[in-house]
Amino acid sequence: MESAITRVNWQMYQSLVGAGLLCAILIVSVFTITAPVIKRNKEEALQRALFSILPQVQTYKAFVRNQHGRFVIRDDETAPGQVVYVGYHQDNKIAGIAVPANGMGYQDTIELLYAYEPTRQAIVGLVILSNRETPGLGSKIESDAVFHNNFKQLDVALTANQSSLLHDIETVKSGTKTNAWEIDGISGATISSKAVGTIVQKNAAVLIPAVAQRVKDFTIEQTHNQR
Amino acid sequence: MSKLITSGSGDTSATDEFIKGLWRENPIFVQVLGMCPTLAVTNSANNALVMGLATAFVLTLSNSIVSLIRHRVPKQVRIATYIMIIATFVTVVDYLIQAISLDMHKALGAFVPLIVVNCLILGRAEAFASKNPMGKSLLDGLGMGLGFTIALLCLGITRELIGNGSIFGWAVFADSYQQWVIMLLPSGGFFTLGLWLIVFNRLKRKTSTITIIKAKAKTNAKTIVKSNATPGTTP
Amino acid sequence: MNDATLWSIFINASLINNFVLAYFLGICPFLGVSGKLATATRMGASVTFVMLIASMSTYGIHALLLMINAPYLNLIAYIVVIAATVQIVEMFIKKTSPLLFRTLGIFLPLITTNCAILGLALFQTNRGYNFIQCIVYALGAGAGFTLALVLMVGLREKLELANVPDTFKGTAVTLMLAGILSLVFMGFAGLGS
Repeated sequence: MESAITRVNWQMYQSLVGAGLLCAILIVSVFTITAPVIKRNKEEALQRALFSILPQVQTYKAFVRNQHGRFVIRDDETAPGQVVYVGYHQDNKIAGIAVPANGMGYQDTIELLYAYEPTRQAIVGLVILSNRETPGLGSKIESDAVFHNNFKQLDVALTANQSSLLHDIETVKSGTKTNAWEIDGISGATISSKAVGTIVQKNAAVLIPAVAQRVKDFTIEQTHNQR
Repeated sequence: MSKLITSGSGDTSATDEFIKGLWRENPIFVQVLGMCPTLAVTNSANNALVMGLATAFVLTLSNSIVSLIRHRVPKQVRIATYIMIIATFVTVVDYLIQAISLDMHKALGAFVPLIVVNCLILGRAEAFASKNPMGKSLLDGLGMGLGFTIALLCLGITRELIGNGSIFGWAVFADSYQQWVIMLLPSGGFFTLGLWLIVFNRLKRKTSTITIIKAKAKTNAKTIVKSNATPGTTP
Repeated sequence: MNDATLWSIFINASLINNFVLAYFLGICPFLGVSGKLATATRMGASVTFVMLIASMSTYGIHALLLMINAPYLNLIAYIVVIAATVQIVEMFIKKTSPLLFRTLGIFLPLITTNCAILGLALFQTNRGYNFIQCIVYALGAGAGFTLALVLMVGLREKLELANVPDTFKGTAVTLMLAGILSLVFMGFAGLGS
């Protein structure tokens, strides 16, 4: 009787561990095979998004803001901290800075990329990377040309000491925009468009002053010194 | 010699194993199984199709593997083993979708991993694959998976057509079509599924009434033939 | 890191994006619940309890997997951990409080494969909630689930006295009710933000 039970126990261990091992092998194999393809897909998607908001740019470099507040070239994809993509002209002058941001929309998280031009002190473009808003309604934030026009010259001027935004970005009712730092919401997609405005405001309030104060981190000579 | 015979009879019932999942035992409309993680992605025909195919993929493969190892797994740990196998294939299909189309993966979101708790897959593994040879189990999985995809497509096409005026992204109605946005919202999902269930119930009733009438006619004919064949007996 | 406030997470999980009525998770018990209010509240309490435990365990597992850089084992680890913790919790309750076990216990094994629990774990991972946010999220989701369940039970009690046509009987009419409930909950959109 005892041996029968131990035999069953042993069989249970064997089959569980055996099945577990086979499962792990299968998962790891598929992961290893698909990882480079997925990485390439993600890079292509990012390139497309970057060039859609800063089309005149020649090259991009990815920077990450480390814990001291400095922007360093991103070597490791898993490094924590805000990532920015700095675009350079052919003469290595900074053309614009693309900043990824995300936040809660109506249904789920909205991920977007906005472009900041330091010389014009304005946000010059925005592209929605992913959203799961209501199709046909909230998803208009992705396609509505009028909504995207809001972000072609969105004022993000800084205070004199460059520590914060002069005017907070606000989403207003569709058609009531009067100031350069306001965003016209989409009628019928109020919550989603307001969410986009909030995401940009929250991110810009922290990042734009930081970028303005440390813009020399992005110059080519500085990046060569970091190497 | 006996092998040939079993394979012969196995073939006819094999087609039956495949077909039953499409209509007679359709997972969503008849068994009302596996709706949980899938209704949320039926708001467009594209999403519904990919979700259905992904589920069919997992179902077919897990049915096959479960059937292969069914004699080696002790009873007490079988559910745990089945769940591990299903979770493995779901992870595999998740990475495959990411590799094939990042956009599609973003649209489906966290609902692809949720295939693992789809009652349909564990239900078929427990009820069928653990008791039948691999060939039959594979066909059963394939049939159920396709039936599931068809049902999802019914929902997805209805919702997208009425809610957005398009099918698979191709605009069907003119621009002046006033969309019924509610169909794209979660409540639309509930209504659409309820409506399709009503349609299915109605069809089932009609076919079962016809079957009953046919069966009755048969037995009547039989009694008439019998009484004619035995003369001298008073009916 | 997710910067949503705790209050907005709670309101979002319980009302605006109710797990049953907006994400279609946890439909199996929702549609099959019998017309008894007491059963519904107990079921809701069990689900909230399991959600709390599952949320905390999966948070820990995810942190562990990140440390060893094996994110592809997420799904398998989650489902195993959820099943295991539910089992352990059930045994623990059985030993320490037979009364509590009799109240909650019968539902616990059923809840393991409940889409809502795994859905909770996956959503909180995707949104990068920290530990406190996870707990609030689980509480909100459980509260929302209980609310939807209680409402459905009340409606079905009324339904038993109504004259439902044969073709509509059963799941079909329950789905219609659920659709209307879902519409009602949409009125909460924008609350708390």
